[in-house]
Amino acid sequence: MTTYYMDTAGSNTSPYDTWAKSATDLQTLIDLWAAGDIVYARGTQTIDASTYANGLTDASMAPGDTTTGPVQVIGCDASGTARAGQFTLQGDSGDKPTSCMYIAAGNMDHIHWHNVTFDGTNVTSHAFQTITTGNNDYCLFRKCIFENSPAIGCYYYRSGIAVRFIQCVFTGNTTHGLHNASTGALYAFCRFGLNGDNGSFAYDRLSTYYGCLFYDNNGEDLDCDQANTIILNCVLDGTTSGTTSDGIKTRGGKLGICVIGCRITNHAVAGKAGFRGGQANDGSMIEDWNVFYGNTADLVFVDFPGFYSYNTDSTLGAPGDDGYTPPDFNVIDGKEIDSTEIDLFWDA
Amino acid sequence: MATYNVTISDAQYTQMMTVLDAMRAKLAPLKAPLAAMWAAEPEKVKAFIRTENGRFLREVNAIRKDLDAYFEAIGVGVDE
Repeated sequence: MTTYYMDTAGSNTSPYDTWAKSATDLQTLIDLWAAGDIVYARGTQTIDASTYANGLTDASMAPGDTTTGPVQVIGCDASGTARAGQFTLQGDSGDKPTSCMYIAAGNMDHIHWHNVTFDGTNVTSHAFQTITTGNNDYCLFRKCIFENSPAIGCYYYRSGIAVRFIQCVFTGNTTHGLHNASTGALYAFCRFGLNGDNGSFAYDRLSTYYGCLFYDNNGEDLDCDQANTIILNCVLDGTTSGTTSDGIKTRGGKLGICVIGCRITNHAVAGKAGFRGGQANDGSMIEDWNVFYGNTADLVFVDFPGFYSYNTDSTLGAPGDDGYTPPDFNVIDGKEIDSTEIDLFWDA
Repeated sequence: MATYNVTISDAQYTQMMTVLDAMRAKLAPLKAPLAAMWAAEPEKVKAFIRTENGRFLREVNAIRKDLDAYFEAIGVGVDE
């Protein structure tokens, strides 16, 4: 296992094994690393389209594995201490690449990104994107920021299983904060806010959102377009600017959207709802301990020949059931949530 | 390294599901009495639910802090 360093102020001297000898281009190390290697990176790398038309690439990237270990890219502060928000990839304002990071070859298995900001201000598409249907399994993003892109912050398209986003931030993107179409993803303690469309467009299956905060996205905070999603102890709030759409929407005729112990509040635009079962055959379970407040409607179900349930004993509600008849331990007029009550503003 | 690779999601997922199971376990014996209370004292029932909902959020923050400590311990980040 080898340790590399990346710093735009380094001397770019092989084997890049100290901060002084740091590579000045992360791509140099991407092309070098092997399973089990660690890259410490700091500063801001600006990527121009003349050098990397689509952004940094995985064309020559070696994946991690479960034998030797993952490859870890760890953002650090100026002192070399691993810390969030200190290493940034961004586009060149005068020569914009497609993305900061562009995964086309499917070599992202077991790659762990810690503390990396993908700033999409000066790219022409998504800040981070995978475009393959191949092997980008068991990736981990922890305390990474996907922000300000003219499209989607993180576009993880039909690519990989068990991708984990832990304490990541998706904010200020023109369309969605995240579009993930992989399977079995885990989103823990992530923050999806102030995006032009959905906070998360969940085209994934068997995913879990735990302890996440969604706020003030212009589209649905969470648009569940695929099956078997658990939304547990999350806050979805439209207080500050007022979202123009629903808190959670399910659609696509899928089953098993399960909401437990969440607060879904202040989606107050006419015709919108805290939770919307959007299309036929959705099977959406609004289990207990949810608090709804300040939504134009709290629960709306549309064209519903399928089933839904509000109870922990999984009693099935009949189509058309308003769901408010006890035993139903959801509160629809709970106290107003303060978005900061769930402490996920670690980058503030 | 392999342990790190495998256990991050497993351990965290288990912790989350433990919280969920605890929620359900606590609710189960309360279900009948809360339902019985609903007609006469709905505000008491709602207040209880709000309190529990708030407790879950505090637990979320506690788990997050545990996770921060874990990542700091393995050298990939410090708590902000």
